[in-house]
Amino acid sequence: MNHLQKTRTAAAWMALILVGLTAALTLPGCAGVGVKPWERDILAAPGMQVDPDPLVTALDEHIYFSKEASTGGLGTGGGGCGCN
Amino acid sequence: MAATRSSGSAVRGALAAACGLLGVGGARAQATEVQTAVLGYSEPGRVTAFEGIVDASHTLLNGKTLTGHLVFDTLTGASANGAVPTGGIQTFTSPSGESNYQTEAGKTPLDSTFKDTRAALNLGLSTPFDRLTAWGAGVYFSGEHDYTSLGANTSLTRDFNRKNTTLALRASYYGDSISPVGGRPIPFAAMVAPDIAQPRQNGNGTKNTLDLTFGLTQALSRRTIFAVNFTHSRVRGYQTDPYKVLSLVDDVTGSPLDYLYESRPDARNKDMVFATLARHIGGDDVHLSYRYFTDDWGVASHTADFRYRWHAGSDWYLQPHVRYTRQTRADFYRRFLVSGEPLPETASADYRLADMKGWTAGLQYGRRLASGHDLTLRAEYFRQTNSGAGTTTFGDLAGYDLFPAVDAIILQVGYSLDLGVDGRSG
Amino acid sequence: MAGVGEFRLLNRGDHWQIRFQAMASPCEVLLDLDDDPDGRLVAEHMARLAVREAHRIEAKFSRYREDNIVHRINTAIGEPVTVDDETADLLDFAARCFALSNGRFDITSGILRHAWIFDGSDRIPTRGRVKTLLPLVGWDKLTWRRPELRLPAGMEIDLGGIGKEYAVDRVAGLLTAPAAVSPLRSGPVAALVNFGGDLRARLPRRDGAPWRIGVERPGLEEVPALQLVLQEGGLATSGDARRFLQRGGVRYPHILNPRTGWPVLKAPRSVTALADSCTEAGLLATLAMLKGAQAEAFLEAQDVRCWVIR
Repeated sequence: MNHLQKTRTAAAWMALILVGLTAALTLPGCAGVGVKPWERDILAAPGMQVDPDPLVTALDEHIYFSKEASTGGLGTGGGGCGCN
Repeated sequence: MAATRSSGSAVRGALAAACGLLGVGGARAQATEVQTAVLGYSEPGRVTAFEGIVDASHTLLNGKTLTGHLVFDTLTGASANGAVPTGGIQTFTSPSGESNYQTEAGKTPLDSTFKDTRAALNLGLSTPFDRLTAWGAGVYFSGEHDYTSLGANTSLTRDFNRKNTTLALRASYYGDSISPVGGRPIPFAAMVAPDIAQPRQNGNGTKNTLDLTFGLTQALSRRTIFAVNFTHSRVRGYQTDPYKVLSLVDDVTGSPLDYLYESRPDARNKDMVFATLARHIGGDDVHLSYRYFTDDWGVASHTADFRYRWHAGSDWYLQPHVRYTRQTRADFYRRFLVSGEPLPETASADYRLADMKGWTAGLQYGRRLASGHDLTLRAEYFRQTNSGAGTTTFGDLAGYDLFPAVDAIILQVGYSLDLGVDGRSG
Repeated sequence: MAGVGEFRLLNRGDHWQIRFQAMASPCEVLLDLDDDPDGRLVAEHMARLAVREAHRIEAKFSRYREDNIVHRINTAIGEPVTVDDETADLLDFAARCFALSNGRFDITSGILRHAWIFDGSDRIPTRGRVKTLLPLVGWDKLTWRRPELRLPAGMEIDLGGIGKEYAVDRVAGLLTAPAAVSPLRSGPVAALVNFGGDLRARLPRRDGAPWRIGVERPGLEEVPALQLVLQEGGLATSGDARRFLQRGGVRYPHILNPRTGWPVLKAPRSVTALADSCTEAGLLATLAMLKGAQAEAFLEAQDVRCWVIR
């Protein structure tokens, strides 16, 4: 499989996931997913954030950016540097 | 207890102080958080890097948040220049073109003249539009002696479904300028001795990057949260590593005839999907994440990351961490070029573009100090291996390890201060 | 009137209003929440928090109950009583107020009510009757070594002078704490808590607009309600104009000097003070009342925004 096909396959998967998520969000039946505003005690804890250690993530991203060919995508706003 | 005299406006100050002690003082909900960390990275026998980072955020009474992110790092030591090991001593010209460095027989050629210092600054502002929508913007600068990057970003986030769902759109643009020591080599030009002028391209290299990210965060239950990001990244311009070469080897003996400067395509389109699941299990926090990466250079990778934060005490935790990554090589990756074969349009022997696997295992310790500040210590071990798939060796080359593993140790100390919800004490 | 634990929830367009009865006062809480199902859910949750906290404090520190810490202290007959942290904090606060008021603010002075019944009549007690009570008044006569309080037999404490203001601040703090509602991204909710005219506003509203509220002064229904524009801070009123005695042209207000056992003559009928918290405002208003004719001078020296009615 060449890279063009690979890219197309990935794009197709992404599109599928996006469509699924959009459907899930707009379907009224799914509005019940989640928690009540006052049930956020656990999710509000520092250790339960999507990224509990943004600093560690930033430092690791910089390391792997300079050691690997695939970088980014974590949603952290990294910037360009000359280490790759 | 005896009554003491007091007069003047001292009464009010004393009362305010007493109210503060009673826990009913006039506190303001402004919050300032500062996080700092120092990290050491070492590949024994190769690169050593130190990085210091300060991250500050301040939330104003009107809900606006200001963020600042300052990074300093220095890198010294030797890194692979792309050439293959051989049976004899190899001599290379340093990037400046002013001196030589040599590699012993059988050793992977490393450029030991490498030394770099970088400073980067990121400033951001996020403003709530209304109760559900926020807009953010930021600027970025990073500078090294041979590389400058300027960037700007903007983002929009909106909550849905009783704030259980958050959608985010983010766009970033970076304009980079590359002015290598000694100038930019001509693609596939042969490295010449220090006393001869190396032919060079005119001017600086420039590169621009546009990143578009769509993110979704979903609270699934009281204990589970899920997030996924889709990112498309479009890079145009000079992406060649001006310090890396390829060995041009004899098609029979495998011994090097020349060292040719590498050349990479000037366009790259990358797509990434990154998903994280965080779950609170039996008092501990578990994070599992996965990233799929693909680009039109032919690189594709799978990366999985697992962290288990074990809250061993009321004020401390231990967090084991494991990361695994596997990537396929870029289409233009060549471990070496063979004489007599036509030159490809683009080629690089940079091991980072090869097939590889990477393992990271680490442990983090976090402690809430009596002052209310947080201390973290982290140690990680990182190993990269390369199977050499796709590369056929012959002649002398067969006797050497063309794909040595890279090992690294990472140590980090972090300290964060939450300057509190009370901007003013009672 | 709503019973214990009950409340009414009213949509006011750009905010929600909670009404309930506690501490012998009509209580209200205003919340800066949207007019939508989310806003209602959060408002209902906060109403339960507010009502529960108000009743908790009332039950714990009321002098009229026989199942609480105040009753245990007042019936210990000279024995030491070990108190919990919250009670200890309040006793520490009372000790500080006693010191900085030169003994005029005294939580042991409640026993003087046996001599003084401010019912608008002319029944002034005899000097001898007041004198017999004075040995039982004085914070300096008891022993307070946190967390242990030893009250001489016959003495009493009464936290009524700070309890309501403390409850207002506590409820306001509870509702606006980051932990009260911590949505994924947005901050806590601005609130105004008003217990019978003693109030506290915490956090600015989202549109930056202040709360607008009218405050009646007890016993002064003929005076127009105080129209307030309040963003953050506390407000409290001292003095109940309905509670006084009168004889021979002299008006004896409800406010007593614990050192003499007699009312502070020439005290204003009502003092309303604005400060950072309701408790601070309440103390400033009470201390001003205790200054009698010098009430305004005291408030001016303390740089307090105030409304004094004589």
